[in-house]
Amino acid sequence: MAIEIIPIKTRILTHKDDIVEAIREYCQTKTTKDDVIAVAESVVAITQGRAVAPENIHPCLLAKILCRFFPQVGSISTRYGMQALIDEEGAMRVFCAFIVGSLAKLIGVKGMFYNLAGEQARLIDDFTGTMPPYDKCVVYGPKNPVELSEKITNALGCYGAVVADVNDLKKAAILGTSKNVSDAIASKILIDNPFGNGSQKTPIVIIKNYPTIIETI
Amino acid sequence: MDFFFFLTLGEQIIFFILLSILIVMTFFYSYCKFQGDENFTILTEQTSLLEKKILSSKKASFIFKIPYFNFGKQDAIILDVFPRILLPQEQFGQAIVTAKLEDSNSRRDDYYMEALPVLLLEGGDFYLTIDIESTENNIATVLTNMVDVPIAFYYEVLGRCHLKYRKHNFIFRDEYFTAN
Repeated sequence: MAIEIIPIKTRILTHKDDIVEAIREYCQTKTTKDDVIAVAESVVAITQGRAVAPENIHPCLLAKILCRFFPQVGSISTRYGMQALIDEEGAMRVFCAFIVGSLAKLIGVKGMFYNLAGEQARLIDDFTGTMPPYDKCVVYGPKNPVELSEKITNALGCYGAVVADVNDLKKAAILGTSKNVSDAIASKILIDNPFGNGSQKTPIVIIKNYPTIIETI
Repeated sequence: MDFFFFLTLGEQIIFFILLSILIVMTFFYSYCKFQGDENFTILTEQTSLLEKKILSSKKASFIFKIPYFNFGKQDAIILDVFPRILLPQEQFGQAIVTAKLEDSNSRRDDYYMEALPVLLLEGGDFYLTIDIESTENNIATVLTNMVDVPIAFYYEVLGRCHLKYRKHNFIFRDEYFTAN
């Protein structure tokens, strides 16, 4: 059975929007009790006011030094992205993760820093990572994704909800789900990145007939 | 090294701690120096006229292509860039001259510049639109009398170091507007 995923076009959602209300506004008439709503993590974070302009981030010496050791494809390779991580996870945790991660890398174990430095290490998006006008900001990962998924489920009366971080490199990280929805299955369904966080403005998707999908996967 | 043996054990420990800090700081400093930073440059000397449009009897529009390049050792992110025409009415009162800058891959009507990654040793093109609107005469007469147009490009660029604000000056010689 083909999985039906409907991208929902929205206006640009900002820190002035309530994400639950926005989802209700755009999805209420298109959602049934068997559907799961999936929402992109960056948009959730933006509506939670977690996009910060670099002028408002003040990098400490640790951020200035550590950022130099990360390749520029990552979001913590700028001192502002690294400071954002330090602000969220604490300087000591980030520093220890860096030391252990570096030692692990010396013996060929990669990715240890990201496992130890806290979930924000993977979630922070720095400049150019999101749609305008937030392309000039560092966007932190969202807060309380599980709680938010439950709120969306209750507000829309749907089967469940998911907050996900999906990219075009076939990586789908599920940050939070309502209790009916499986992380692993949601990740499989969203692997092809149905979201369009950029000019497509489709940060929400509806996964139709989720209980039927589970039976076929 | 002889002086070292005259120190007490406590002084030797302090000496070693200070020496270690100095070595670590020197290592980081050298590493950062070696790693370098972006060197984003707007290559105004390579400016070329892309299009000239006479929009009405009072208004003309010129689109110029201005290359940019990152000569640095690190990628750059251009968070914003905008042009400022520095031709006051006191100097040239025959027309109002305005400018708009866009990236060639992301042309927009709203004067917004999307944050633009420029990888090291790569570049691209800006499109600069200069609109000249006559205040009195026919636009053809204004273009004949046109003077040099100084312009400043202000931009906000980020590499490995702190966010930098830079200004780049250029003068569009009157020939750019009077030719053809």
